[in-house]
Amino acid sequence: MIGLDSEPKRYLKRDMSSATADPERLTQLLAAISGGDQRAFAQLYESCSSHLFGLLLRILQRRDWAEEALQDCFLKIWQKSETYEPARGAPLTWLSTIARYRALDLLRMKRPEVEMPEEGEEPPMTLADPGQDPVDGAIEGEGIDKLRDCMHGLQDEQRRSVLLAYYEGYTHQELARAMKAPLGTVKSWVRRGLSRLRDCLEAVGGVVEQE
Amino acid sequence: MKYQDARLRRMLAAEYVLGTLRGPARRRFERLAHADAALRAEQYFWEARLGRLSLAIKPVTPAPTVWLSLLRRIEAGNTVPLRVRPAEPKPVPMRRIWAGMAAAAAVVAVVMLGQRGILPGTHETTPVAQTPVTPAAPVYVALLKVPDSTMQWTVSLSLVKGQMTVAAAGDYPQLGQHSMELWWISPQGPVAIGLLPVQGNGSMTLPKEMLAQGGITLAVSLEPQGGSPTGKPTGPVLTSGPAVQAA
Repeated sequence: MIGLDSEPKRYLKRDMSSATADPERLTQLLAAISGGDQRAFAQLYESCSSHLFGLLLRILQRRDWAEEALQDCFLKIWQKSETYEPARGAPLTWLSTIARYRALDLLRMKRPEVEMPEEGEEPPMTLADPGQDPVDGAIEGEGIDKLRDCMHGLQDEQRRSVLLAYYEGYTHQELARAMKAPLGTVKSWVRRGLSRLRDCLEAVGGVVEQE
Repeated sequence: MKYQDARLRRMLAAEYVLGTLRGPARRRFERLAHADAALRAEQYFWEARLGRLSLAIKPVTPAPTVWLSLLRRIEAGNTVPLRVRPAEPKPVPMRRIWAGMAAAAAVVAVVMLGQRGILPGTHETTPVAQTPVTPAAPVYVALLKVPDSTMQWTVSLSLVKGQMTVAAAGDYPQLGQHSMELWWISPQGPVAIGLLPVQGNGSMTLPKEMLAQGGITLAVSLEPQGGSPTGKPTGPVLTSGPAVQAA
């Protein structure tokens, strides 16, 4: 039977740690997919779909939309896996970028149907543990110390606005509402935050760490 | 022209990647970046770094139906065509798509079954004592579990006898006025086997054309009461998986 002639143990191992899927292996799979290898495509899906689905659920907040976006994302990978460039990050980072962009486009089409949280109601800020800074959750064993350090160098509002935009897919208007601040103020938090983040990331080295 | 201002260009790339650049401005950035390597480099700088934030998010396994729908969309081809490859100008035969699905399903099966003794190939190395080997009458087994419920079936099928037995366990509270139909995923697409029992045991007659070539993949779909009116799956696929040779 197809798919069982290579070591099942590796599948098991990868299944348990999909978020840290071996970048070299994913790069090989992407190369094979660009040559039309369906089996590599199935393996990439097996390795990465749960990570991307978690991300999509997080932004889109609806399972049906997240499922649609996940399919769109993998269709794009199937059709355009050769557009991957290491400059865009490790393979899983790049796949996350594709998924996120797709989610943002879907939000633009669909968000008008979604009710925004009422004034005074805290928006979903964090990951598993409410009250915890998402970046803190990102640091464990993932080797993103530089990003974390630079994030912590931002002022609270700057960091919070950048993270809310990243994890919730908020627009400036939605950020203003969630953070109960004027639009202009929020825009400047985002811009100053990003500007500072860039200076910091550049200062600590332009080379992206390996995952 | 504001796109000539270096600091603004940087900021637009950053906001594009962060996602706060929306609407027409987002599309405009994409057009410009497509033709502007420096702007693209700025975009990639942020993608490689901010993208790592996604690693903090807890993975969630999508339902098997998502993979099956994805295959259908690839296979449908007309709305989203398969990439034309120089070496292989024709669309990929559907058989290969289903084979790919079987590969992914097999991975699931390996995880679910948790033992390698019954994997295809391994049985051949197991010493067979007195009984003569009868390769003409193999038995295939599959464990089909519906995600997010306790519903599962253990099926055992003999192609030679053309018979299948099934044992249901668990519960599927969302069933309502529906039936759950079992399909064999043939190289030509799904072929109906029959309605699955929700509890207890049952037996079914297998489709005559059913072959084990390239593995057997089964799928369960949610259908109107009494089964699919069209002879093809009409409702969502609840689960799928391979039947592996057990004896």
